Amino acid sequence: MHAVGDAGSSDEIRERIRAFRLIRPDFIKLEDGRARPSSQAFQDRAESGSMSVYLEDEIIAAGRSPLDLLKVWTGYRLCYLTVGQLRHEFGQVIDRDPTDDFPGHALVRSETGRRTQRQRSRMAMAAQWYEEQS
Amino acid sequence: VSLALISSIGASAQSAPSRGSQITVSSRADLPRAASTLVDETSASEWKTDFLRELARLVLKSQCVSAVTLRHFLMWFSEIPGDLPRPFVAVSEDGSIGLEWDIEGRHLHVNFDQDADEVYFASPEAEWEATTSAGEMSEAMRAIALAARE
Repeated sequence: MHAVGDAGSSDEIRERIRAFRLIRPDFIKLEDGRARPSSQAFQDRAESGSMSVYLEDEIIAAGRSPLDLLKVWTGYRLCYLTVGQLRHEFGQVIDRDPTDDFPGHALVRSETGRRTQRQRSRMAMAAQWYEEQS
Repeated sequence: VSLALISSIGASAQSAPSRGSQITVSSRADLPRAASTLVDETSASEWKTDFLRELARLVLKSQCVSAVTLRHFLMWFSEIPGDLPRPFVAVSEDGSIGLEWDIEGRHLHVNFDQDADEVYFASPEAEWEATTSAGEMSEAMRAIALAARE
């Protein structure tokens, strides 16, 4: 596991890297008529104590598109926050965690050990959908 | 253990604490009978019947919601005001139950898990994080009910 930034790009770019989060259909709600991710989509997994994201720089470096994630996980939607948002607005730590499934896998965990409901809710509110032209 | 279904919930706020001990987790075989019990007993708000059916479906699907979490949730749920609109509900991979109301810039998110409950509320006037026993909860629910009526 390597801290994000080990890939060698500048700090400015690292902060702007998008961290993509796959959203299960049952974690999507309607808010004033618009589809939004629920805060439940930003819970840690019990076994790892962290949540999975996919980092844009490694996806692109591997010659893939973030939308390719949706070919692997059909039925899901894709949203993102930047690494800078995760670190500075939500107090999260991001570690690269390569897997065989798809390039760019990383784990996100709270600096304080457990992500609070406030953090999960605000992350859900700040997340943007990734669509074809994003 | 094959989880789970809510087999009993009281619509009366007064009887909720004592009824909490009656909440049971039933096997899949009990599903039809338990579901009909919900229809009979839920009268405070029509949405609560459908909501509990949906929750039961989610709980059965996830297979990781503990009896402690369910009981904790139901004791709270039986006391919430009937004039609230129906919330979004989801069961996460760690077995927690989340309810979310998002109306006209007012957000009330409640999460129940094995250990505790957490509440987040945000509106143009206030933002706070607490537990369901916090005094601010009634104010937050009133804000959501009012926003839904407007």
